[in-house]
Amino acid sequence: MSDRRPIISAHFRTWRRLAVLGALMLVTSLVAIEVGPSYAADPVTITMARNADMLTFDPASTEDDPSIFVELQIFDRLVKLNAANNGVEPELATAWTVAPDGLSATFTLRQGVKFSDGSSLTAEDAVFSLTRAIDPKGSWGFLFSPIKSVTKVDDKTIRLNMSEPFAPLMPALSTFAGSIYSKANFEKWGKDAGQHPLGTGAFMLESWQKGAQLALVKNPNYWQPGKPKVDRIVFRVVGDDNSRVLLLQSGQVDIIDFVPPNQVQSLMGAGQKIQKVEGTAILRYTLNETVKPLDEANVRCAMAHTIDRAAVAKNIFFGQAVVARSLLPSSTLYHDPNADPITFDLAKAKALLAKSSVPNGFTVSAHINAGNQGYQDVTQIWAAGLKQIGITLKMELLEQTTLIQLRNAEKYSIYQAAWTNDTPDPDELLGVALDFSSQHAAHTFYNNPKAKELLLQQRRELDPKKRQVIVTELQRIVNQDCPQIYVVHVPRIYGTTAAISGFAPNSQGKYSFEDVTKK
Amino acid sequence: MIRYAAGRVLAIVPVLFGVSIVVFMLIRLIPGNPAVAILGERASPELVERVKNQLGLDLPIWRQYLHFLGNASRLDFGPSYFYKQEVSTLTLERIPITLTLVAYAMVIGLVIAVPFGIWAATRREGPVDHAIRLVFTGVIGIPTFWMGIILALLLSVRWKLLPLGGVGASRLDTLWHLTLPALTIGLHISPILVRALRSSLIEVMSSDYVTTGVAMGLRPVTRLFSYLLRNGLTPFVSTVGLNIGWLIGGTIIIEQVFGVPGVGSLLITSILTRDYSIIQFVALVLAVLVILVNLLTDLTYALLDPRVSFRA
Amino acid sequence: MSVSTLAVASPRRLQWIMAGGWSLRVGLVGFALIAVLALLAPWITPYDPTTLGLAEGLQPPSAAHWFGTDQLGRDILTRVLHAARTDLQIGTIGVIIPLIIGAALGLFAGYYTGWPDAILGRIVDVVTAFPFLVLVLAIVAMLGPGLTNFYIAITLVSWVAYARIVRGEALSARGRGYILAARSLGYGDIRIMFRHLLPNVMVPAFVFGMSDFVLDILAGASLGFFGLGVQPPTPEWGVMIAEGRNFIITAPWVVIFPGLAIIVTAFFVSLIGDSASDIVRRVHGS
Repeated sequence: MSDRRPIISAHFRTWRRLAVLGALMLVTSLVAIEVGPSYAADPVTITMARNADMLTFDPASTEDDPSIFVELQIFDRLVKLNAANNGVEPELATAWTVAPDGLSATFTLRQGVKFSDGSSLTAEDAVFSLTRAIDPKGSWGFLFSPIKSVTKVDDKTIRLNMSEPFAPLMPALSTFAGSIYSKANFEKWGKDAGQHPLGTGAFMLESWQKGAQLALVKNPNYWQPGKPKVDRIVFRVVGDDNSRVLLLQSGQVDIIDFVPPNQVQSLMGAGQKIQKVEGTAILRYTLNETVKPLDEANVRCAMAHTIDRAAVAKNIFFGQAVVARSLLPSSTLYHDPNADPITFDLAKAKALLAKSSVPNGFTVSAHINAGNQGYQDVTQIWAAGLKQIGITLKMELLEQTTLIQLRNAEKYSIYQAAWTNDTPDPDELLGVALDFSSQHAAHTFYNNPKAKELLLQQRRELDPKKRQVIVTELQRIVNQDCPQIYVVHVPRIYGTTAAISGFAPNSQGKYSFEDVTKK
Repeated sequence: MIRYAAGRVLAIVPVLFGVSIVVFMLIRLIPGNPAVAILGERASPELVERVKNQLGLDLPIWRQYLHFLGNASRLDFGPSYFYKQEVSTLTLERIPITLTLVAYAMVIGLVIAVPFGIWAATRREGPVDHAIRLVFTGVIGIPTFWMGIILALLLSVRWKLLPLGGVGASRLDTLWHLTLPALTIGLHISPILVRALRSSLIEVMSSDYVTTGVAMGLRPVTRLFSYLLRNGLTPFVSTVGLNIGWLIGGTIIIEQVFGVPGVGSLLITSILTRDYSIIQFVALVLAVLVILVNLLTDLTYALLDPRVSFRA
Repeated sequence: MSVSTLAVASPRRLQWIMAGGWSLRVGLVGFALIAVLALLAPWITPYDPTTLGLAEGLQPPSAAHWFGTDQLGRDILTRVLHAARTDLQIGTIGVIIPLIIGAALGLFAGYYTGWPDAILGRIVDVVTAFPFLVLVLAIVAMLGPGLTNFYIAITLVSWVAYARIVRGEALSARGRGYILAARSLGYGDIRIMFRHLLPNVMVPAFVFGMSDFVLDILAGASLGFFGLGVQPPTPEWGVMIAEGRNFIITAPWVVIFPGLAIIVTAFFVSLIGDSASDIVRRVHGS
């Protein structure tokens, strides 16, 4: 009969080798994966998917929202905005007085507050943090410009010394820029301090896988008893709008930010909760006046009149956005929608362009966020309008943070973003937009001495009625000079699962997790 | 066998050098001053000087290359100004998850391809064979990112079968989270695997020793396992090695689509943030990966086919 | 039944097409259809690809809009057809230029052997060590996004595949009878290479070009999807899928049709490529 080979062993030997090879590959790679610490009891973890990662924990050099919002969980400030958003409440400062001449403010610090590593909060920490905050070379010095120095009065008290009365003082101190952090820790880490925070807030940093996720855990030494109500927060970085929504819908995350407007209805229908914060951000374009012909007001205003804002609100934001009639978000104090707002008016646009040096149009490029389809679509709508008056707009897509850096280096022509106010007071936005000495007026190089004068006036004016007049005038100047082109008020839309309660972003879109619970 | 293995290992050395030269040249493709480009908009005169020194841009090109090699051997590719971490640390800590995804995708690809490959080969030129070939020809043309989006919609949201990206809390959980991405990539590479398996099986099926075996009354099952697969597997293994590039390409795209924090999504994000140092290093790492996989498959091939090591 | 029969005039070629069976015919007809539609797009499409129709955003497919509209009210059928022009161009240019460069170099290396061949071999090994997409992405990253840079990147990476194929063919063909005859007749090297060798070694290269065509379109669409290739608002299938991504749940047609366009085009081209390679294999005898 035929010489039968030992079939079984031949067969098995080969398969065994292949199986071993395959198994080895899988096991080796699995073994190397980083995993987070495992918990004995079941901690309550909230997972939030956000569209970008944060960059730094140093408030004085923070310019992006993801960083800001995490800093708000880790650090406390002297005061915080009250629930009605029209004043402040104590946080790290329990009491304060402003001198009658308005040139100094004294704060009494809360006692017994500890940092998350157990060390005590002292007046030195407050002085250190605020001194860095008011530094004009820092990103936010302009927010505190009249404050010239911060001094320690005694272990429980500090004093802020100002060169002139400062109306927005308290709201300014409630922003993330006024965060109080540990002096010792900051000095220990030196130039890496932005990656290793130590604060007194409800949470502390547990781990940070860059570009992937960030985990915070409860601060065991938090000074408010009974809070926070959750043990852990994980911030996942999910740049893709759609993926974030899918993650929420399938229950894989609890909270998401930047819900695309077109998904709002379907999310609500599926039982998710939508938190919409109105009118806190304005989508706008800044124009670099060092790039000709953007230095001419006629050109800029002509361009401003070619955006069909109503179409943007309807087509891109599905009715979730409101047409903007001022550079200030509508939730800001002293917002005036009737100071000659810019409208969609092609005839006027043509007339304005005809008066300029380029009546037949020109070509210009705009830098847009590659990850945000909605913003790209808005730009398309604008481009269609511009084409009608002979201007060709080219889009260049870049990642968000790179975009910011491009703008900061002032190498752009047109830049698009939505900006938010950190306080309901308009001073921050007006300062950024109109003060040439602060970041070159939001990097536009807009330099109008009259506007600057009015800006300083309103900052000093403690009478609300008189201040309204000045701020209205400023808005009118903006509408006539068009250093920035506003489009719509963009609501900040967050989505949560039905099990989450207590997540309530304020009018600036800021959220805190102290009171959040999960069923 | 040892001698063969040693020979193969030595053979990759010049390729590694070549790869390092290509990676070195990449940065110099940038129009304008590479140092300024790397720093992007954070460029201040002293930072530019620092980067110039790190890259050795003032030196003649061959000395720049040696400088580069020196840095590369210490895995010093500089810091990422965006992430504020060392490029090498940032990349290397993401490798395990990419490797897992690639291996997982390969397993799924095989699970899909092997039955169909065998089926098509055994029913060669029949309607089943044609149908299988047609379907898989269609599958080749499906863009991975599109397939990823659609599968995510169906499997993760509509039918809630699989989680959508991210990392799990434990190793097993991570594997579960990677299933949807791996499935997408596996589908993406399955047509090539089917085609390769089918053609090598057909070749083996018509070879002398098999037809002799059939003539001598060899049972089909025995024929399948003992003869066909054993010998049909070897050219198939080397095809696998050759197509690892296709596999990695698909993995890069899928990692970005599903937000898997691996080397692929790092590459794409780095392109959008103009982080040139990361791009360089990732390109190097992936090329080395391909070279190593090819080495592995060559050695596996030798293991399976004794003739190879004897010849070498 | 030698290779030299390949270098004969047209009637034989037509026989091959008939012999290729129905898959070759389907592939050719399908692709021709797509190409014609793409070429005629500016004239046959009912709408303009970039004009916005802001009152009619996200309409499902209907009589007025066979493929529906996207969020800016643009007709999707129009955009798909106009995008076909871009994507077919990507496939064509992405194949032809590397083919010419690669074939030329491969021809030289295969004919002369010796050190030109050794150098080419090393370069091929090194370039193929990089996954295709990785190297293309890296080059595009350095040069900047955009269609032109994409072509540069594709050319720099793709030529090696053609060089390798042509070199292999040239190596085996250089020893054949007709080449030796030509040399003994005193013909110059260049003449031999281009008049005698070239026509015979090109066929496998063209066949490979078919699958390369598909690969290039997929690469172009992938880059377009990530915002690294064709820049919006130029219609390109990958760009369209990216633009419609957010609406996949509420308006899936925005994503489905461009995707199908890619799949269908790739399918027809693959059919051509597969049957062509079957034919070549049969003719070659191995």
